[in-house]
Amino acid sequence: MDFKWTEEQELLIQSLEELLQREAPESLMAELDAKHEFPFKSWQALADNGILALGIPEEYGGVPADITTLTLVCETLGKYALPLGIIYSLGIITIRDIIQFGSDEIKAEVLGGFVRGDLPVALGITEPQAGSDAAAMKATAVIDGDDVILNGQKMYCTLSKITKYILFMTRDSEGANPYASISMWLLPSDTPGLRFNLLNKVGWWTVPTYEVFIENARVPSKNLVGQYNSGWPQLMANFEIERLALCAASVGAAEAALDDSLSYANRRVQFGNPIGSYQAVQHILTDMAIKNENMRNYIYKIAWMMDQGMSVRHEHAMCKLYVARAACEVTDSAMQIMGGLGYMMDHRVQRLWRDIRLMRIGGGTDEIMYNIAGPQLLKQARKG
Amino acid sequence: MAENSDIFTFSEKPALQAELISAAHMLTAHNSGQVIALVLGPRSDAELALKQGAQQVLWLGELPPDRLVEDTVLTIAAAIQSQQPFAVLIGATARGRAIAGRLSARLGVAALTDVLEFQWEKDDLLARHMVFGGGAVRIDRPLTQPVIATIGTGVFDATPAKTGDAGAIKSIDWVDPAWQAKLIERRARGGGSVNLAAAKRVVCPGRGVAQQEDLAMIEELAQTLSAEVACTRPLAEGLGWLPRERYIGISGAMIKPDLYLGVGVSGQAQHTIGMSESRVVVAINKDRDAPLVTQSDYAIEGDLYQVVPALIRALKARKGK
Amino acid sequence: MKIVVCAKLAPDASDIEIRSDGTISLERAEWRIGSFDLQAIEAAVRLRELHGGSVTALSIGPLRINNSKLRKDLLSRGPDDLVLVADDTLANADTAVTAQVLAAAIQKIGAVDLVLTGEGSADLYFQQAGLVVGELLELPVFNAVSRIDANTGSLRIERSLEDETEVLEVPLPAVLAVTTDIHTPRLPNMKEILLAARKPVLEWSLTELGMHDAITPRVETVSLKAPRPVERKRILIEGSPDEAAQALVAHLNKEGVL
Repeated sequence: MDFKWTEEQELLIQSLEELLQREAPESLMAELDAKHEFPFKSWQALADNGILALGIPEEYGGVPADITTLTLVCETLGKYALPLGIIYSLGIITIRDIIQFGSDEIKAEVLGGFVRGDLPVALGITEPQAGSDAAAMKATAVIDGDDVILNGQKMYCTLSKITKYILFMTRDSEGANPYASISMWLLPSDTPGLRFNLLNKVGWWTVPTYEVFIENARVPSKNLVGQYNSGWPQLMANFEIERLALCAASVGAAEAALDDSLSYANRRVQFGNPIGSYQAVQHILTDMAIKNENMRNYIYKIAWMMDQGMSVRHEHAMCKLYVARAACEVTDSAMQIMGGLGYMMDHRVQRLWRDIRLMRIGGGTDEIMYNIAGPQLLKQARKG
Repeated sequence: MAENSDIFTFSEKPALQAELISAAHMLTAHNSGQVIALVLGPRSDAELALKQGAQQVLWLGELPPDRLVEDTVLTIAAAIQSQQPFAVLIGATARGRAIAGRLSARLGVAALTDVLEFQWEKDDLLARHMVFGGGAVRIDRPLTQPVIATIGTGVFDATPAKTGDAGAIKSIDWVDPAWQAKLIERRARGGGSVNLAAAKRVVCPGRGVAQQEDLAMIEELAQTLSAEVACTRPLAEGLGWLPRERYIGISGAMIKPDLYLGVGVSGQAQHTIGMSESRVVVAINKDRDAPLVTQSDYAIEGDLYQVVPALIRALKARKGK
Repeated sequence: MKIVVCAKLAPDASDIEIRSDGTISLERAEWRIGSFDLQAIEAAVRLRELHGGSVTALSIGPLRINNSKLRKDLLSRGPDDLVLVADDTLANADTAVTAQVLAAAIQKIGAVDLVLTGEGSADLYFQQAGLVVGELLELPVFNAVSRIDANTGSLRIERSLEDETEVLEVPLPAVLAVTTDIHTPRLPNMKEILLAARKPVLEWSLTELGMHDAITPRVETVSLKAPRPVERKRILIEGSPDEAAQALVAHLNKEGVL
């Protein structure tokens, strides 16, 4: 069993680390977070250095990259510049849906733009009454000649106002099976009839999240992505990699939290000794390191399975469940190790703590992950 | 094998030449040779070299306006081959390095660069210099002669110039260079010249200073302290906020002031090697673990944007008393 | 323009370890391309992008440099191919030996228009090798080059000197040592990293260069030690900015440096 990266992966990460130190240093991330500003320049630097081209088909300016490599990139982004890791992970599902289901015209427009530095396509799925129960969505699409008229209200639609496109999910109310009645549309965010209301979150301050009101927004019907009423399986196809990417970014953040904690434990002197010399502190740090190691092994096992073409239907859910919880525990422990300083807005641990907390909710709640895994485990046991 | 114990010096910069001559005297004290300065410039420069302590001058004459300093390489090589000095000390400017390198190739000898100290081991001359970005001290023995060594500004102290010293000024024959580049233009660089090596007090901003405009505050602090402003390499080369001659470090100025005050300087080895012999080192940094803080006599852990104005106030208050 | 750019692969000096007896060790240091050499590579690649031609990277050193990852690292930064002279007798080679081997390799590459080197090696920083190579090859050679523009058959260069910038027209072929001002090196992207594995690498022995017996070092290293740290007082002044500033002024006054 070979746990080594390829030389190409090592060189890529070396280059990415240097890029992040130059273009997304911690001081800049802290400043943008405090100002609730999106890291436009850092994002463009990722584009200019070919990071956004990874995994995009070559005909649109992309470079082949397997899921393991993308996972490595997300982990690295999460470790050095979590905001960038979050933004990149958010985009993976919509970008992949475009790659797999978009028309040639849509692909050229969206993927070409993304490689050049456009912000990721936002995902418009959740509604006030439809969160985990996504199929309870009520947004509609009504064909009118060559166009389609879209109506609805989307909630927690991150990036939607500041990016070019929203992947907008609608439900055909006539359909008996909700999961076979959902369609996916490419909706330009500057379409007349769209109204955005900025939402105020505990964390993820550099990534704006909106409530979106869509009133008779008219787009060409060729903006349909994939097949009519196939929106749900199309989205599902890429939930897994989306969750894996978010996990990887979280693991990176947890590593940053551990680094900060170790550094602090070595330096902070109380009662005449560095606090790292006390067993109580060593125990906390060791537990953090074990969780980081477990998280890392888990995400790369899932990435490997996906690269081998193996099914990860419940395996990925278990990974997401574990990583979200463990990353929250690690960042919480980091805050505890750092004591008063950890609670200060001056230091990054509070930002990691706030940002990571969403991982147990966003991208599929812990409870939904249990709902995916539990029945599958029992089903497998019955077969045997 | 060297025929004699003479030491040649060469620098296109008179102030540095004075230091080289002084260093040469330290060497000839051991081996009883003569200190001979190679001088490029008007006759008054040749006379100055004698005042600076050279016992003899080999005068290359003035450089014609369309020629480069480096065009003297063959001339200098011929002089070395004819007189066979024990060593040739060259001032470590960019031009000096070029001449040293090309001479070493021509003569088939070693050139030891950025020498900080010489040691005699019987009749062998050993040279000490820094390597690994300031992380280590290396002592080298050249196995060939003459010994070519480059020496930076401020490493050796010049002895004060004397007047009325007798010494021969001998013109040497110009040898045409084998190839020539065409001089299109010389553009003076802004900032004027600063002699950091002579400054008793130095204020040195580093990367902790967020923007160029903030240097005004550093300037004010320097003025209040009657200090020179230096900087770390990134501020001069990367950001271009200050002229190159102001940066302290292994490839820049090496200084030994009474007071060095680093403001927002982390203290990487490549920089600290240029100021580590300062008498009193003060660090102002928001990180108490920054290397400079641990290598300082006095440190204030804090936001320089608050500490520097406070320091200016405190200094002015003291002056007012 | 056929360009050769010299790059040194050496242990990263920032990974230096100091042993208890004061000697230093780089045994656990990661080997890297010298940071100043990266600028020379960038300068070479940009000239090729503007004027066409080819860029060959040239590196000499002990056997350790002939390492797959280092080769890919070099090639991922833009050169078309790589020439390596890897021989353990070149470990810790002095300037004279280094320059002679580089010069021989450049002559074997043949028909070279321009040789570029960095300001100095990242580990030793003697700032000499390029100058010696130029003189050995009897070519126009300049250091401190901060800008290169190409014309037909010649280059217009700017040299960044202490007090002035010298603008020169240099006939080709020539050897230039570039400064850090010249360009910010690009970071390798995945496309270049993947291409690197497919670019040609030529490995030449010292014998093939006709150099096997010919090289005698001209410098002997007598000692290599950690610098003696100057004992400092390490007084950390506490308090508000005003309190700390006043305390500092008092200290400096007592030290007699004000």
